[in-house]
Amino acid sequence: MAEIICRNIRKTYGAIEVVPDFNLHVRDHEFVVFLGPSGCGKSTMLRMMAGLENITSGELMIGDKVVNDLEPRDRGIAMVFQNYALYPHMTIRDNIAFGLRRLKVSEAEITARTAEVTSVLGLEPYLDRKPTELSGGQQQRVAIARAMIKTPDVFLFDEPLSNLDAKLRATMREEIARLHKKLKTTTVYVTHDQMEAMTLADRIVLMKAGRIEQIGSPEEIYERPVSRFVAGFIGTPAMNFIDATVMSEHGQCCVVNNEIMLALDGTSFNVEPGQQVVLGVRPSDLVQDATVTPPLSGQCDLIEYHGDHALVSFKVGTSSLHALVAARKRPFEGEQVNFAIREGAAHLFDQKTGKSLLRESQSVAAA
Amino acid sequence: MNRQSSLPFVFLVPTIALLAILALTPTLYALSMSFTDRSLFSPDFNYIGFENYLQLWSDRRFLNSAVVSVKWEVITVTGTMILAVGLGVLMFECASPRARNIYCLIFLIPVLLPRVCAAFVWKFAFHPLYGIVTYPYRAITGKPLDLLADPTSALMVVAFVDIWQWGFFFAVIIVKLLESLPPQPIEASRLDYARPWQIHFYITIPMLRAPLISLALVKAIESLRSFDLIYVMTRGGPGISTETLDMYAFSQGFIESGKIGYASSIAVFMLILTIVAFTIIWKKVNK
Repeated sequence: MAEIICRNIRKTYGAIEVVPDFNLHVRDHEFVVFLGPSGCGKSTMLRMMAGLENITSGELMIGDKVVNDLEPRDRGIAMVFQNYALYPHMTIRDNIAFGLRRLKVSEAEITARTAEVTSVLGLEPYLDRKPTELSGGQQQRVAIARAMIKTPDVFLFDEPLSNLDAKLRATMREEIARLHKKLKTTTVYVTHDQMEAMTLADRIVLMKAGRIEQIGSPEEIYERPVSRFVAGFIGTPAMNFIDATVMSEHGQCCVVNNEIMLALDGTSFNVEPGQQVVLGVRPSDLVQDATVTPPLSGQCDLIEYHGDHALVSFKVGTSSLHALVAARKRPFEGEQVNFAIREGAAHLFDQKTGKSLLRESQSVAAA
Repeated sequence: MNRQSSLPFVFLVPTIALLAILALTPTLYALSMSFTDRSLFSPDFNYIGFENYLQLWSDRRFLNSAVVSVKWEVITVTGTMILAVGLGVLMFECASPRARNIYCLIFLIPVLLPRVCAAFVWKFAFHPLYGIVTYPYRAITGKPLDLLADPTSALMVVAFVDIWQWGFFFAVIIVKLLESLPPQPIEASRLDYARPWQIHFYITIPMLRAPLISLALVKAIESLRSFDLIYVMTRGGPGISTETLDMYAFSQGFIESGKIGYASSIAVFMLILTIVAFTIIWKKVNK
């Protein structure tokens, strides 16, 4: 068990700076997920923790040791790779035992520990097979067993479920969550799948272009995104964005563009009249409203049926918006639809900086 | 026959016919000659059945050359593979990709040299009075050193030249094979407490098992054709200590006694032995 501290970590490949300045404190027993679009530096960061990439500058501590110059084998970590990275010529048993054999652990203990991890992961029937004779999910389970048997201080997962099909991914996700609950090993998990991040993480580290965009619990990140990027990245279906200007009418704060005019609670946002903003609303925060002049109305042009819900696309002026409604209450295509924004569910972002304009006190109170 | 099905024959028949004429005719001719007492001294000959073959077993020089041939195969194949794997792994671990390419280019030079040239160059390098290899010994002891005249070292010296030619070339192939391996199992083993040599011993070399076996077989077949190298460097000497089967057949047929029929029987024996041995090895490693 250990904590991980990253101090001013920087990584360059020649002249290209991949990670400019990375600071993070992963607490003991914590499950931290690095989330971000591809090329955001999350895998590079993980590989630096593993010791598979050199750290250009900065300090990386695992436990109480600075590990910058330690070999991967001396860092007390175990890693699970995206494409399993099993040793293709060895049986499953040998794959799992490989690390312990290198440590010269006695055969009797290896047998006992192998039996223990394989029973947890349900791998007993496959021990004498070769990796190619197993399915993707089973292979990834072997990779997890191989990591677990070392009883490391830290688990590193590099997109472990990306190569699996959707159904298996859900099962394995649950299995990883259960394992973490049981073992409580400090874990860093890289993914580009927000569903995995939301369900597994104690804290999500959302990254963009090598920088941390936001750190927070899944709830914080979903409810209080600090920027338009975070708001757009998290949540399916994606958040609606409408460009608008802030106006003040009779002391009431409004956001206005050619099509809409929406009153806002001026106390929750840091806005000035005339400021160019982006209004963000999640599709699930749009409610069907029969009042005469609801803020958002337009003609429904497409319905995506999801089962429980339906995603309604409609046009308000030039912007195309989406609303998630109960499938039973879905309108017909071509029908005129009226939506109102659920109270307190609107987000405002500065058009230039993309930063959230929600007042600090508000977000602190929520957190 | 329609066009579709006749096309393969158009391509195959001329090639196979050519191959049959060029390869099969001499083979069959040698086979038929091995049953005669034909010699270079007279145009007449008789068919004598298996007498040549029976005579082989009481010919101590033949038995010696069979042993030398086997020794030659074992030494050159293992020597080449050990040098190639060692050097390949060393390049993979220690050299930058750029340096690796330069080394590869340099390592290709020996095999590009015609073997006769290599043989002459190294024969001179091992010259007891003027050779560069023997120079340190001469400088220290003041005595000449003739490794090629010593029955125990002569075969080793010739094998050294053969390994020099092929080992470096195979090292290039092996470093390219190592580069083609997926990096993840190697990274996983680095996390699994394996030291660099263990990574290669337990992971990369076993992963390259199939291509390495193919390389060893290629070298084994190649080693069978080292007649020119041995001919230039020792002519089978000193005495008969480096006389392989093909050297012995050559000297029986053309140099010493002109017994073409007897020489043919040695060649046929060698052919059969090779086919049987390689079939067994091939089947065994492909299991």
